[in-house]
Amino acid sequence: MKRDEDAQILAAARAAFIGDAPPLLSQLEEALLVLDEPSLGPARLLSALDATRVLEGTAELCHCEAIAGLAREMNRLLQLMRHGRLEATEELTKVLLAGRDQIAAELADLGGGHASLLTRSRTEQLQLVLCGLAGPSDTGEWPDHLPAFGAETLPGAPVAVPSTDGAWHVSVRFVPDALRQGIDPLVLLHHLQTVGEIWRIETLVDDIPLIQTLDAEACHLGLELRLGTDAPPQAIESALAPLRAGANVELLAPTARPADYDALLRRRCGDDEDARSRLLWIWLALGVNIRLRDETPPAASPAAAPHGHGASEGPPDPAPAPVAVSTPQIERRTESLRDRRLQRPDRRLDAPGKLVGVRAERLETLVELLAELATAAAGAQAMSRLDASAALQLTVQQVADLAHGACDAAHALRRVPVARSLDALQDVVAEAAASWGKTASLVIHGSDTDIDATIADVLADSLVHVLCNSIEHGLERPEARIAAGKPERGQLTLRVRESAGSVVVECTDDGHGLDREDLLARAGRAGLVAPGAELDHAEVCQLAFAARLPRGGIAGGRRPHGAGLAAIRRNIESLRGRVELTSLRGRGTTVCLHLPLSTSMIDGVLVLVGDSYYVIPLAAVDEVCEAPPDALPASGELRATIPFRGGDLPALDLVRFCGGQSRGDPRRRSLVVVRDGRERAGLVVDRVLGRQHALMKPLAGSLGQLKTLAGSAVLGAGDVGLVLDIAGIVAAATAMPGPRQPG
Amino acid sequence: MDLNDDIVVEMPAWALGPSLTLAQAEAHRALLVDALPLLQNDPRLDLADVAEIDSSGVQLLLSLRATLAQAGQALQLVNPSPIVRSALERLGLTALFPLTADAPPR
Repeated sequence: MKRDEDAQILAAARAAFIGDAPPLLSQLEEALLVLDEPSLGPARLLSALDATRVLEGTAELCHCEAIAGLAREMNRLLQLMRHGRLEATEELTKVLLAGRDQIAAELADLGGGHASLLTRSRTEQLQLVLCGLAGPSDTGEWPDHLPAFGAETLPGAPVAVPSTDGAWHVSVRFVPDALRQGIDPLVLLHHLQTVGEIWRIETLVDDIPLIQTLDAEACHLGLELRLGTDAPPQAIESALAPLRAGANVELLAPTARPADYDALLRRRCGDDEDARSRLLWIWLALGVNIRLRDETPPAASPAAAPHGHGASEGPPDPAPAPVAVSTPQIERRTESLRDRRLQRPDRRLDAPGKLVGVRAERLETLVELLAELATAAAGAQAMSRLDASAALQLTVQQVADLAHGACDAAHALRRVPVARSLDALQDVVAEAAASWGKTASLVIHGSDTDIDATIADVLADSLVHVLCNSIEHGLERPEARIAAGKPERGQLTLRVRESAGSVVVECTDDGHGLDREDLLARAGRAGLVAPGAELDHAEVCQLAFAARLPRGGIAGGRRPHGAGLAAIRRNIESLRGRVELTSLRGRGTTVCLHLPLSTSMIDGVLVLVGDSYYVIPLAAVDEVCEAPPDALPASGELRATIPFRGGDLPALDLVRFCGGQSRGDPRRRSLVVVRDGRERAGLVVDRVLGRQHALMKPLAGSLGQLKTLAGSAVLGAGDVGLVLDIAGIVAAATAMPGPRQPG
Repeated sequence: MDLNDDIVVEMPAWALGPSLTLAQAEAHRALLVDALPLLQNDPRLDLADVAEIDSSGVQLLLSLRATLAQAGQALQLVNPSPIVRSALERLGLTALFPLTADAPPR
């Protein structure tokens, strides 16, 4: 039973991850594509770091080790770039982009429920390459979570290929008596430095015994190094000559082929897989390219022939090549890098000097006119299908497309980077903290999302209140913080991310959190809670929003806190957003604001329910499929939990819910699966008519109070459709589940 | 924040020197084996006075590092003399040793 629950939780977490990941991936891609631009790089680097960190954390939660590993290695590389220890070269960008694409591939596998061997092997290879580029950690350790180099019988096992650095590779092993014979590795290095420059060096230390058993006079060291030199081979040989008696020296010229490295690997390690793996790691750290075996000519490495591993472990992978990090693929990326850059919106237009000031009202008028135009064009298109020549139909089609394009473009004008609203918050925090005799710092993550200007204003306004509340009521005084073992300075964190057509801002403090008992007591006095009522954690947190909470505030505060939160919630909800609050006693409070990215245009799926048209916001739609006839809510029931894709899905019969009469064949209805945050629900509709781009207007009067409707939209043919409010409709489907089916 | 802020210097670190070469390697090794219980509590080694080091000396440090790592301790080299630093740098080993200077340079 427990295992079932765990599996369900994991499945839900993964589903949520698959939903949340695409915006992170595009954030990452956008950042990576401009990394080498001096003006944008540094800011975008932070955004990329943030994306990889969130991906890693979420993937770990979902036990997606492959994605977590990739994100972790990418994060490590980006950290090195941030600290100026790695330069953002084109090559590096390409590998990072390959990493991003590979995460997307893993996600696709995760969503499809089938882990392909090919994907997995590419992921491991790429992880190795990323890790090799980042090098060992500051303490000289390689991360211990890395996969070993794959068995060489697998197609695509790694192989060293000569680097393009033009360096000689020198590999030295000493006889145990070397030191006693007067041959010292340090002296050898000195000799080598007379003929060239040692670019990189790794000393092999794995064979040194523990100090209790060490023969201190024997030599247990080995050397692998890259020597940059123009000297002729003879000069290098002669520099090494005095050492020949006490050491085995192998030299590989810059022109050495993969097969030469392969042979060296074999001479050094024989068949010891572990040793081979270690030595490959060292070569990676030295900058020797480790590529995949299918790059080597078959004759050069007979061991590379595949032995059919894939066939025995699962369905054969359809495409034998190319593998993610193979040379041709990396090279293809060189060409595609420019294409990719062209495809991304150019954010340099945000740079000062290229801005034109426009009055908001004029913009508003333009947006509305274009939206009306798009609607009219869609109407003309519908009419032309009835009685018009093919040529006229085509022209009308073009007009409609252009009108849509103009409408989108005008809408983009209204969008501003959310960072603009957030910059001023630093001052707010400093001021508020000072006035309460506290110290606090604010860290903002991921602030390069674009949102509608109106929403940005509301967001900034709300955040000021949220932050002030956190400082006033959440954070303790410095002396109390020290007593509680926390850093003296309070830490406030804002995390901004895009999720399914909305922007989510999380505001976290590390203060003392909500005082459950105090809150309950005050809510009890205000008559909000019946005495003795059992409330779960979420319900208690919900109380903090109540407007009529008497004096008290969060744990020891001096002013009522509830009024502030209630006002914030009203503000956010007026824009079809929502606010959530979670709190851990002693650890802090998180206020989470969800806001739509845009106020008025809606991109949705048009469905027919009875005689009425409804629009379901596209961003929330997970899937549209034929409703399984046996899985419909039982006759007379609005809701049911139906089996779906191996799990349970709360479903709502929209026809009955909206009080209509189903027109279509009941056996040919459709199921639209929608998502609100982590909750999913299935909506049973009569017919799915297609995608609809429409101007949404709020509902007037009492209709505006309906939680399940967000507004109305004028459709192409002049009909009016109702736009579903996803949060409301999902709550309606899940809040009061009908009788569960057995199992 | 500087990690060194947390270290309150009470005991001087175990010192080694002035010559870490083959001739003294075995003697130093025996000394370090005896000092192991102390070093497992306070894994700092003062190398300020080292005027001479060869590969056997470096190897000794690496062996001590591995031994202490087994006890969950990270060997720290305190105030390593320039000679020690350059030997570690030449062998590409600086990343293996946190080099600290928690006493004022002499």
